Amino acid sequence: MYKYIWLVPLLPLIGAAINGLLGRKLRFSETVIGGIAVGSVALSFLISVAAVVSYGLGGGHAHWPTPYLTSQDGFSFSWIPGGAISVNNGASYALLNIEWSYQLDPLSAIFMLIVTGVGLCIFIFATGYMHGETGFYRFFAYMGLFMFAMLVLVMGSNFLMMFVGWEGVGLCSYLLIGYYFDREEAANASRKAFITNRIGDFGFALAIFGIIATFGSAQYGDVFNLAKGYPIETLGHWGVMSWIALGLFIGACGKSAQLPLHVWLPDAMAGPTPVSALIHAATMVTAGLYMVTRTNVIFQHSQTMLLVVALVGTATAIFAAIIGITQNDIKKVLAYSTVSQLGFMFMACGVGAFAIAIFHVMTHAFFKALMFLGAGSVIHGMHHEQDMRRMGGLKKYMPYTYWTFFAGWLAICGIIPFSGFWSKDEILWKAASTTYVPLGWLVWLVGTIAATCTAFYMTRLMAMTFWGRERFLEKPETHDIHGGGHDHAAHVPHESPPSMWVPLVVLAVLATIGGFVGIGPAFQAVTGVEHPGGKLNIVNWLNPIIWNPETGEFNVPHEGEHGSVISHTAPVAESHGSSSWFNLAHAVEGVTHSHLLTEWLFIVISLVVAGIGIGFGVLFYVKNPSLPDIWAQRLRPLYQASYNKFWVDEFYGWAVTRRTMDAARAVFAFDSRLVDGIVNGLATLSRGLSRVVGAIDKYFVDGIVNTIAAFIKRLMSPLFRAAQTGFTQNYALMMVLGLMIAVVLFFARDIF
Amino acid sequence: MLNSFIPILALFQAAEGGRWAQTWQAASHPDLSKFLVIGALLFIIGVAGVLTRRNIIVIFMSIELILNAANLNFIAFSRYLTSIGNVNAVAGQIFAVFVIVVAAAEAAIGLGIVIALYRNKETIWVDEIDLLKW
Amino acid sequence: MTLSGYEALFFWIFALAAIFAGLLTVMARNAVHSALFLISSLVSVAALFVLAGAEFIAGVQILVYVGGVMVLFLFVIMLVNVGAEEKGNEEIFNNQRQVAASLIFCFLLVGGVLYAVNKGYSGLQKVNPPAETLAEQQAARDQSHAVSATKVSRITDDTQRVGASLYRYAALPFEIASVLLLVAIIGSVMLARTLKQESAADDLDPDEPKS
Repeated sequence: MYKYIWLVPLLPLIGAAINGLLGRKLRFSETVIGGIAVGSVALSFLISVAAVVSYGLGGGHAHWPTPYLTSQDGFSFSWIPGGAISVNNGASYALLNIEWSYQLDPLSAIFMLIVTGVGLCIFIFATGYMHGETGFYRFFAYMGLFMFAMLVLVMGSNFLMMFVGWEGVGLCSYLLIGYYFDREEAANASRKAFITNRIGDFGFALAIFGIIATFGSAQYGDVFNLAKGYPIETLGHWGVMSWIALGLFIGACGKSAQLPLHVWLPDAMAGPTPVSALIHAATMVTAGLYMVTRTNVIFQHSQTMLLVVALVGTATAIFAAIIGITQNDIKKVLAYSTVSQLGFMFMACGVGAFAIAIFHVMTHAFFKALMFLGAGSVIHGMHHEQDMRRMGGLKKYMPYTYWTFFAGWLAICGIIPFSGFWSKDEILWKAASTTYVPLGWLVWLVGTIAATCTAFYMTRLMAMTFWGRERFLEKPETHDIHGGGHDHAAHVPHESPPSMWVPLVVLAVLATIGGFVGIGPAFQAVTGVEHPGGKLNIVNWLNPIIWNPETGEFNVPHEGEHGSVISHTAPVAESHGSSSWFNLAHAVEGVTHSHLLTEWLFIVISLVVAGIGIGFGVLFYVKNPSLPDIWAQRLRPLYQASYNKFWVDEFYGWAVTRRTMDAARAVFAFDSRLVDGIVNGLATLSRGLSRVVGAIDKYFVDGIVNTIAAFIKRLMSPLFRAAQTGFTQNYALMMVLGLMIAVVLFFARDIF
Repeated sequence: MLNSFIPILALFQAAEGGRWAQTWQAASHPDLSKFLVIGALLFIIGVAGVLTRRNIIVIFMSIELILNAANLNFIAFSRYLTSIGNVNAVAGQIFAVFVIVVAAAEAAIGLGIVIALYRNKETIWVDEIDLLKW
Repeated sequence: MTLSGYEALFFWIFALAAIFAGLLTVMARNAVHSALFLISSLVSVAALFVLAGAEFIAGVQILVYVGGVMVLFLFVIMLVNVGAEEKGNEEIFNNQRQVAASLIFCFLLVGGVLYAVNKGYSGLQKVNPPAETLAEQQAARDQSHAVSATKVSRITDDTQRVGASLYRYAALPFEIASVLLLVAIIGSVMLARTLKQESAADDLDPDEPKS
């Protein structure tokens, strides 16, 4: 079955093509469009499941874990055949050969399943949510196109295919954010998203050029096999690996909304809610993570870049968390939550825990998609009211939505045994105990604070939306934020139709139990092994693609069966001077003298801070609703900064947008005055010159010609006129005279 | 005896006996050259008539004189060529036939034009038909 | 070709008659007189043709030229000319300049003739055999013809020769001449039609206003 993975991207594309090209022309009904779209994604999902099962666990087991490329069975297309570019890099590599073939390996398998599985839930939700829209077919066409692009991204076997998918998802993001193209805010947001993405894409493209130039190929296998042998560039040393990693990370920042390119994600909430769920929570924004994890060989070769990744991720996490505390739009809160969680994932990558980052991607996809869809359900039920200040007490009106959202809330706060706990806790532990980069303790500390904030604002969201009194029944406030003049008192929220809450239930189940694939070594006492679940454990599953700096090779699967706990966090820097850095975990272990206890200590700390966050949230928004205003007044500068998103957009507007427009104006002035002035001056000069020449021609030349003509006329005209007598016999005389002369001339020789 | 009737001989009265005899011989045995001279004189008279007369009909008749003179030339040459044995001698007479044919046709057409002209302009004087002047 | 004896005499008589008649043609006041003089000139030239041995052509000349063309001339003179000169005070010659120029030209031509005669005479003498030889040859030729019924004159073969040539070697020009005559007939009929005749045949000139 795994031979048919090339169908997986193709089916959504076909569905999108049918919907897009024929949807309006043949006037498909919503059922048909939805059926085509959902059906294509469902088929893709089934094929993905079958492929992963058969290759990873079933019949193709013999070949696991070597990646399966479709080119092995002939399903590949020679995109840029060898001979087009020739690169000399000293190795025996011939010419660049780029093909279009799909790859099935641990990382792409996870992403395939996430994209198609969560995507399927969201598609089903969208058929209900987008009911009644005039552009129904257009929506599903774009969504199908997005699925295709995303699948190409994660299933591609070389960097160029990843780039194609990268651009494709960026395009679809633009199209889908701007789905309501007649709304100015949506149009602006889609443009902002695309342009910010593009800035990242620039870095990514440069990195790809660097990869091709350095390694002579764009295929993952070739590149990573070569990259293994390169020396590691320690902190402070900047080499080719660092350059490539920098370019890649800039791309990831753009796509995954890290500081400073995060500005597009909150604005992207102007698009329909399923779009926010699919693209801006579960899949597109995780493309950056996919890319960083895929190229973990390169990143691990550059210690500086790892530190940069960790710090940027951390900064993003706390930054977005602080902003999320004060937002009033339900989708904006979730958006900033997404940015913050993405920061966590990059934090994980930065400290060397790539598998855990992917684990967090997976669990985040579950609960964030769940919460976005839940928010969509709330918005739908509240008749498109998005301001949380006008919600409240929806618990009894929308039970399904409430209970599924509840599961998601617990997951994101990191409460055991929900999925979010397992991944977030592992991240913080790895941050504290990392030997890959210095400042692990700082990362841990800030991450913990961010987790607290996360718990706080998510509890705030729950309280304002589902608990408390029903504010929507009260009169609206004097200043209207959202809502177009409809009478709130008349609208009572209703539960969503089954097409909307069934996917919520599915995702809630996943959010609850999805974390069990990543039970960490701390629970070794319970589970008996370091990474329980054998191959299904996320760390074991992903080991083959993670490079081990200690051994200089990629990890062997099932590595966690034996060996000590510390062995897989093989310190690259032990031989590179990491002993001089402060390692928090080691410090605590020095106190407790037990590794297991240290781990459990950190687990407890993270649970406690989550509880603190929840407690504060309950206190502020359930028990004592006047507290938020009091504290907002007390911490006024911080509140203002948070509410205004730290004025990042304004700063960009001043520094970048307006300066660019000034430059444009200057260039335009230069062009219009100088260049056009020259051109116009030349034109005027030509005109003047032509006038001079014209005058010469008219007066001088024509004068001469006319004078000569008049002279000839005066001379000859009377003569010729006189010859026209009209008297035939004159003419006869002339004829005879001429004849005589002719005869004389003709016979001249004989006569004379 | 005939000599006195030929006025041109009076020009040669003053000549010597040899010349006189030669002239008489030439005159009494007219050959080709006499015919040609006669033809030439007729031609000249005709040309003078074409160029000087005012009456259209008379001009046409002068043209007939010219054609006649040409005919005389042809016939004279035909007789001459026969006498020296040229096989194509009869061509002169053939040509004369055609000249007569053409002259007849031309006279018919020309006189038709004259009649049409007379009907329109009521005049036969050539110098009154001068519209084609400046 | 030399004529001799009475032939020479008649040659001179008819030659002078032709020239005199031609001169009078050009100088006559009355157009009918001109026509009659022209007729006499043509008849004299026909006689000269006979003397030159072209009897057939002489006959054709009399029949066609005199009997056809000159009669036509007379018809036309009667049609157009009758009232014009009866008063007798019309100028018959053109203005003086034209006449002077024409006469000068004609005298030039006469001078040319005299010059040519002078020049060519001796040449012709050199080329031809002497007159007597030519006379004998002519006599021999004359004797060779068939004798007529009365046994006095001979039957010449000029017509036979002309006919043989005309219908064999000159057949094409002959046909063309017949077409020419056809065209002349049609043309002259068309040219000389009155308006009444044209409208009767429904063949008015479209550019002419109907009068």
